[in-house]
Amino acid sequence: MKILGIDDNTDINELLDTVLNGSGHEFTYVTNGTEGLKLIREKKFDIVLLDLAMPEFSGFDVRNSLLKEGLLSKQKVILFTASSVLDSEIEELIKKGVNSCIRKPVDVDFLIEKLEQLQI
Amino acid sequence: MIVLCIIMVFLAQSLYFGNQVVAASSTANDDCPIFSIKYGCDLSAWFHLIIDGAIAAFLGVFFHHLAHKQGLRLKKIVEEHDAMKKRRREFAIQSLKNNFTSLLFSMSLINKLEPAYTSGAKNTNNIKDQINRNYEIISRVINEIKNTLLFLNDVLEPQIINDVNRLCQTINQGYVKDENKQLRSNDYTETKNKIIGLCKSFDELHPAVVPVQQLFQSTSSKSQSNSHPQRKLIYEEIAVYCKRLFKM
Repeated sequence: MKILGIDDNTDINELLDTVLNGSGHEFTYVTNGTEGLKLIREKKFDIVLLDLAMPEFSGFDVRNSLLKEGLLSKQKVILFTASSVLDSEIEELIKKGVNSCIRKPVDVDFLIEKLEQLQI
Repeated sequence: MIVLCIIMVFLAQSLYFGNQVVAASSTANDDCPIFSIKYGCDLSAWFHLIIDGAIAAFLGVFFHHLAHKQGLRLKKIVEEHDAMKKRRREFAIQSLKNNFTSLLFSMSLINKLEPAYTSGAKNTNNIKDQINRNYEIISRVINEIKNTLLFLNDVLEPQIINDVNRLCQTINQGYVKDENKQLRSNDYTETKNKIIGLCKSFDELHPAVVPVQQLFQSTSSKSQSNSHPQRKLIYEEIAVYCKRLFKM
């Protein structure tokens, strides 16, 4: 499964890289929304793990840009965030094309399980 | 408005004192009616009352205006301070949750690598390197958590600070190498449960009241016109501020 991580936290990206590549997935990561958007335009991913709170170009901006360009439905977008997102906000985002939301902190096994469930 | 008030008070006072000075030099007589203001007439008690009342009214309005304006300014400052506090709190909680995620991932990786290392499987050195790298991450993340607690303690509940400190202590004690350089790690499930419990109390003590989208509104506006310096993201400012403090 091809997964793209967009998160400004390098530690999390590197750890996800070890975990997901180790479990047979192809994980690529970028540390900001602009680069992430560029990569989504260029390549095809199965899942995008999107952090919300990022400086300059937030997860909301990425989602909005994907929606505008009609790229949102081409891959599954999962919010992977530490922000205190309200349940109503998640519901609204799911209605607007986001597939799921995983709140940090999360167990590695749970994350992999969730990603594989979504892929099915 | 303020200038007009000052001018009016000045005029009223000039009139009042001017009359008093003029009137004081003369003697009052029967040709002076109650409200007469003319040379040779002393000011009557009624006229004193009216002038004093007018001055009091002017001063009252003037000070009321000043107090009202000051009140609005204070209210704005308090509101800005509250908004900043909310953002700093959100930033602190986000930082802690990100750090906890890193901790969980590292601990989980160590847990998975440890059996392979102790069983003497192939590539022991490689496994050892990976384990050591994760220990380094744990150690660094714990330092980051301590720094977050230190610099953002004014926006976090004391109970949370205590719990996080206790958790750091437990992890620090557990994830170390003993004297024989043998790896000895904490019970992963227990630590994981503690972290999840801690995050639940985060959400209980600091519930999300402001929609996240609102907290990042400045981000969106910045992305639309990123050349405007005044629209610099507050989240970014706090991050830069904290990084600078950590370096000190």
